[in-house]
Amino acid sequence: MKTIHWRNSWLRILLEMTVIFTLPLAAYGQNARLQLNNLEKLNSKAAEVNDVTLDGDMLQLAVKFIEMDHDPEAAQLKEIIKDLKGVYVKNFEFDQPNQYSQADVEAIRAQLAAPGWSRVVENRNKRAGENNEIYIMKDGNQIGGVAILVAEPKELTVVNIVGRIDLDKLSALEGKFGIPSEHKDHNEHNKKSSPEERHEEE
Amino acid sequence: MHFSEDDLRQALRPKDPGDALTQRVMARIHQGEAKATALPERKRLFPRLWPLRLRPALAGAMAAVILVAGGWLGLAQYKHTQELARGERAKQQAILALRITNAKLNQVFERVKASQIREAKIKGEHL
Repeated sequence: MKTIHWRNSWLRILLEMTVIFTLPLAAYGQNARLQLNNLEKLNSKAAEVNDVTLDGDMLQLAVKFIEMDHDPEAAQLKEIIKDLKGVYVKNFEFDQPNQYSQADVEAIRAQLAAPGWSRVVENRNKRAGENNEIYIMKDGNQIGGVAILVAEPKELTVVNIVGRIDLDKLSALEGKFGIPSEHKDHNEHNKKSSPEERHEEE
Repeated sequence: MHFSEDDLRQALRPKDPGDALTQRVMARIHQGEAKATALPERKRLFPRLWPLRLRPALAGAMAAVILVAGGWLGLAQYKHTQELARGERAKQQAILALRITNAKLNQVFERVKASQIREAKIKGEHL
């Protein structure tokens, strides 16, 4: 009986120590990085997959190679990337609708419900089966992280940017490096929309 | 065995070696000279490498150094090529990520704008 008590006390100390050391680590780890591993299974179902995983080292390497271009436009690109700590994009395009489950989206949304994240844009269209959400994580007066969640019947996109990003600088890249301009994108969107939707919008 | 004085005198009397001796001696001398000159000629062909014939261990060590240096250079070149490919891939990935981000941001804002216009129209119709 005495031995069990001794063990229990040591276990308690061990547990307390674990909590003491794990809590600050957990707080430190509370950054803008989302876990997107649950979407890996969609790779086989999607007709087209765009998967980008760039952590800090790879981004710094990308900056080095952008610098090599000695191009004013490349300098703009470098300005955006240099303060980033990670860029993670998962974009799946399907031939058939409903290839991903609501649970897949909810798993991402649950992470975005964590403290630090705030939803700045939400647009739901039940008729079209679209969910568009933009979340930001503040870092002082600046944006320390961005998450974009676009769920459409035949497409699912999750963008997760970790680090300080200036969205104005990002929009300044439109028309460069193959980044579509707002005008062109708007036209493409109109082309993609069904006649009913276009009529409704008009 | 007993030798008489006459026998010894007969045996030790000077003999004429004949003309062939001079020729044989001269031939031997020429042979020796030829051997002596042949060595420096080979030395002249590879004057720097010649000591290696005498020191096989040194030759082996030099070959090993050359092999290691060659291997190291090859590896460095391979790593450099890999790094270039990795960097170019990172750059293209970064551009792709920003392209998708920008496109999706525009798409969301366009949809928000469209639904706001729709709502405004509906409100206008009700009023």
